This record gives sequence, structure tokens and C-alpha cells, in this order.
Amino acid sequence: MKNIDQILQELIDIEPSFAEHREEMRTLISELIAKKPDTRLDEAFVAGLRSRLLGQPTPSPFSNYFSYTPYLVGVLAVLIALPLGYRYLSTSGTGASGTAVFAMNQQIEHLQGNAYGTIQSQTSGQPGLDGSEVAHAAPSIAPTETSYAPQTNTDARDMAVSVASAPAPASVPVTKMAAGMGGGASSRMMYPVGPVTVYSYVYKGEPLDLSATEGDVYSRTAGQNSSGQIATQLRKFDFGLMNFGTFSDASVRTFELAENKPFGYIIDVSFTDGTININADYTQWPTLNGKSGDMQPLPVSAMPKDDQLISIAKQFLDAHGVNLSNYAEPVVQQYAEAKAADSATQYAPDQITIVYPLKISGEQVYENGAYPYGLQVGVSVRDKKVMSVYGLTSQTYTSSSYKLETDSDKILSILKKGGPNSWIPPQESGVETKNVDIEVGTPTKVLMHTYNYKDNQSQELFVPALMFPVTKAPAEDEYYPKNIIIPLVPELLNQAQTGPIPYDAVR
Amino acid sequence: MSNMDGNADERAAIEAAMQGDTARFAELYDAYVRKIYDFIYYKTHHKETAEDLTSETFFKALKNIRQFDTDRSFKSWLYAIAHNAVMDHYRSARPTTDIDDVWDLPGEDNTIRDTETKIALKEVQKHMGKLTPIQRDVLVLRLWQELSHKEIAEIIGKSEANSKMIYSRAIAQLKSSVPAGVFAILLATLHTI
Repeated sequence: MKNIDQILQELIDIEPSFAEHREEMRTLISELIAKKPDTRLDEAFVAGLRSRLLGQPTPSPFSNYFSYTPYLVGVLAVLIALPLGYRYLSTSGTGASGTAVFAMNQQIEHLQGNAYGTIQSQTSGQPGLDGSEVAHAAPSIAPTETSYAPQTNTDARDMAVSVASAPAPASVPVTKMAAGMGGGASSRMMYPVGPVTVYSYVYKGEPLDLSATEGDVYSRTAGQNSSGQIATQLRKFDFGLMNFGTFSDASVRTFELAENKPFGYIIDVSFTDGTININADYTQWPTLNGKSGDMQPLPVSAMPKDDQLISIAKQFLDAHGVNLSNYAEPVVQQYAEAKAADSATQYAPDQITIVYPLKISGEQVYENGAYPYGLQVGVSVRDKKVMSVYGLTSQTYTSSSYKLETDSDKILSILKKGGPNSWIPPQESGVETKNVDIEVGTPTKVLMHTYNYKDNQSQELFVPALMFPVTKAPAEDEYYPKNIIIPLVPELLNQAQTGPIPYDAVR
Repeated sequence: MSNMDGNADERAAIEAAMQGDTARFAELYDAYVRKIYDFIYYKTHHKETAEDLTSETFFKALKNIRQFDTDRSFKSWLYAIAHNAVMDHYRSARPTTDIDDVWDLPGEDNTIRDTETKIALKEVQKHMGKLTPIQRDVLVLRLWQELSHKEIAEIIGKSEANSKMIYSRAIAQLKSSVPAGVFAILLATLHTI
């Protein structure tokens, strides 16, 4: 109690009026000191951190404690791989002796014209000679050069986008059903049996500026299949079970790092694709692994405001050193739930995505549904934390000049039906239609993200395009797209949409 | 563990570390790691989080040692890094709320805390949460870390007199916020021990 007496006297010296409450004060001080938590400092942690700080290898635990190997391999891999990988990825695409920065300093190597061959849209069907269609989902069964979109979440979104910009959005249930036929299936679908809303896009802007006869198409240079420097480093370690040094010409293609802490993340690095993806490790997130007590659906009122969501995303990206200089201002993807804010029956989504639109050579990139393309950051509405990051890619590109469409009438004709991939039921189909006019304004020059399938490989391309903003649409009509995007590469404009398979043909 | 605080050994270790001698940095680490870990634990109430943030604190210190102003107190500098690490930890998790440490969160908040600590501090949490962050820091540094006001003043970047004033006001505020009944129970409890 001597210490308490000293503390008490010190307090009385500072504030003499405390002397009148000496016993009360003594009790308070005693309680506070008694409540001092046991911090449970782990001496192994102290020693381990010291060792890490010194940069000295710990006595090799691998042979005796094999259960630690996955964790240690991950740590070793990332410690070694990140700096080397950054350098590797920054230089492998162009072959240039660039600086050691991964994905941040955009590097573009200009190739000769038409370097990527004929470009074809992923959403266009390729009618066969007999009128049947060649599926474009699987490259292994596509006998000729056609387009291909990888089976990713982006792919799924593209399919949704295609439907949204197609003739009949939410007001036509049958068309919604057709949307479910995505995932790489044929773009030709069964004819809807109900009335289809046909949107007609009426141009109200300035005369089109199509003076450029050629424009640059960009291709992202993914990583290579190997990272020999990292493998060389890893081979020096004794992993206990076997000697990695016995393998020759080994390379590291991918690695995964897991944070072993509450709300930890799993970080996947692919040298092959030149990508880093981050996901919440559900085993470490109580709200994802069922260990959280409160898992009732969230009301729409729980949705954070857009600026809050963007702030969460920005802080995460800043904290992890993600350079956003190649991205435009972030946008929050709008959800039906958000629109239904006045409905007591609606629940908020668990995750909302913020997109940082990519810019290549200063031009913003959009998907072929006119949605921004770029870095996607998923924010947990429940935890107010970032749950996922997709689209963090190496920023090495090649570019090649392609002829661009210069015929205004042709562009406006394609615009009128909503883009090259839109389809309007022909009169002979007998499908009942309802016509709605939508006004669009002067376009801006952008890049459109697409995939080109060539030589049994999909190639990610960014082609010059015009994006027309919708300026006037009927208020009473459910209307989804805010913009219409038209690529300027003639090959993409010339692909006829064959539309759904007539209902009778499949009965 | 050596006590290097403010002495010639510490200064020599700092200067050597600034020249890239990590072995001398380890001496500084040895001198402060426990204090820094405890300080962070008192602000997080969670062992693993405290370990993570302690690691972050020392890695940041090592990385930035060359920028350290030798006219300043090294201890103060380390505590400032630790304080900021804790603040960043909570604010990155909840950027829309002004949170400095775990005391700013309500006791029933679902932030992960060590169960034993959570239970032990259940009553204290209510009252500590009403203090300002600097009042809490001074209280913790004085009562739990047993630092002198001179040392606390260095850490919080204020004068010794200021530190004492903050401390006494924190105690006065706690005294007024704790119900008299609690004192009676505590007195009775203490007398039976």
C-alpha cells in the first residue's frame, strides 16, 4: 500500500481538496490499480520479434515443427517474393529494365499495327454455316478464332450488363430468366414469349467527331509463368520433408499469404496473371464463420453512405500501399436494395463494391455494358471493413494501332438499337414489342474492356470507344443503363447479333 | 534487460542504430518492448492485436530510425508510434467513428477482447470511456505503467505540470462518476482481504 500512499499524496499535492476525500480516493486508486489487466506478454513473441528485427534467421524450426511449415512458408515467400516479385512483374512485360515497382508505373510498349489480329467481342455469337452457333465459352471447343471471356466474377457481371442493355430489362420477367442463362452460355437465347420493351436511343448531341482514322488498342501484359529468382531463394530453405534444391528450373507461379489474426485476409498473388487478389479469411471473421451472435439480416437503413464506403476503401488501400494514380475517382456500385431504401421488407446487402475506374494513358476504361472497369473493393456492410480487393493488376501494356470507324451514320445506327450487342426481335419472330425512346447526348472518348480469343488463349484488350450518356428517359419506365458504349474498332461493330433461338426451334 | 532510459548507453545505441546497426537497435528493443506491449495491450485488451501492433511499432521505429530527432526523447517517440498504431488500427476498422483505443468502444461492442480482461474491466470501462484519450493515457501510464510525471510528460509532449494537471482532473472525474455505493462495496472488499 506504500505505493498507493505515495500516489495519493502526490494527488493531494497536486489538488489539495482531495485530502477531504482521502479514503474515497484511496479506494478509487486501489480499485484502478487492482484492475490493471494481466497483459499476458508472451516471451516467445518477444524473442521472435527481436529475431525478426535483427534480420537473423530463427533456429530452423522446419525439421522439428513441420506443422508450422505452411505459415512459415507463407511468411518467407512473401518476405522474399514481394520485393522480387514487384521487380519481376514491373519488368517482365516489356522486357525493359524498368524500376522495381509492381503495377503502379504504367508502362506501354507500342507494337506494329493490328498486332492482336482480328478483334471480336465476347458477347457476339458466331453463327455456324448451318445456322447453329459456336459456343464461345470454352476455348477448347472453339475451332476458329472467336471471343472468349474467362469464367470469373467479372464475366458474370458482364452477362448481367449485357442483359441490362438488351431490349427488355426488369419489366419483362422472361428476359430476366434469360439473364440466368449466362456464365459463358450462348448469347442466343430462346425468344421471350411476353411483350418486349424495345429501347430506341435517339442521339441529341453535337455532330460526332470521328476524324481519327486510327487509334491505339491496348493489351495488358500478364505475368510470365515463372519467377525464378523467388524459387532460387526458396530452394535454399530446408523444408524438412524434402530438399527443394533438388528441383531444377523451378519457378514460383502463385503464392498465398494468410493473416493469422482476427479479421485477417488471404492474399493471393499470381505471377502468371500479374494480379493480386485479397479476400477476407472467413475463419478469422466472426460474421462470416457463424461465430458472431448477431447475424440477423441488416435493414436497408444500415447501409453506409457512399462517402463512408469510399472512405473505408481508401483507408484500406492507403494502409496497404496501393497507389491509385492510375485510377479515376471511385464510384459505388448501386444495388436494388439501396434504391429500395423506403421499403421495410428490404435488407441491405452484406457487401457493397466500390470501383476505382482504371485509366490507361489517361483514358478511362469501361466494360462493354458501360460500367466502370477497374479495381473493385468490396466493403462489408456489417463489419464496416474491406472484405475483398479484385483487379489489382500489373500495369504493363502493349499497344497497337487499329483502323477506327469514321462513318457517323453507322455509329448512330448502332447506337439507336443500344450498341452492337443489342438485339431487337425481328418482325417475323412474332414477338410482341413495346417501343420506348431514350435520348442520349454527346459522347466522350473512352476505352472498352473486352476479351479476344486467339491461338487458344484469351487476351484482355482495351479498345477505343465512344460512351454516350443517357440524357432523358421516361420516368415511369424501369431503365437501367446510364450510358451506352460503342466500340470504334470496325470488327466489333460488324458482328451481327443473331438474337435468341426462336422458341419453336427448341420445342 | 537494461534500463537505457535517457542515459549515455541509450544515446549510443540510438546513434549506432541510425547508422544501420540493428544489433544496437535490439538493445533499444530489449529496453522498451515490454512497456510498449503493455501500453498497447491496455489500449486494445487483446493479446494478438497487441502483439501485431507492437511488431508494427518496432518495425516502424527501425525503418524510420534515421529520421529520429536526437534532441527528442526516444521513449516518447516510441510511445507516439505505438499510440498512432493503435489509433490507426481502430480508425481503419471504423473510419466513420472517432476511436482512439478500446476504451472508446462500449463494453458490449463486439470488438474482440480477451475474455478475462473484458470481465475484469467491465465496470472500469464505463468510467474510463468518459475520460478524454489523453486523460486515459496519463492515468494508465502513471497507475499501471508506474512512470513518473517527468516520463509521462515526455511521452505526451507536454510539461510535467500539465501531466500532473491532466492526471488529477482524470481522477477527479472518475471520482465523481463512480457511484458512492461502489466505493462502499470496494472498501468492504478490501478490508476483508
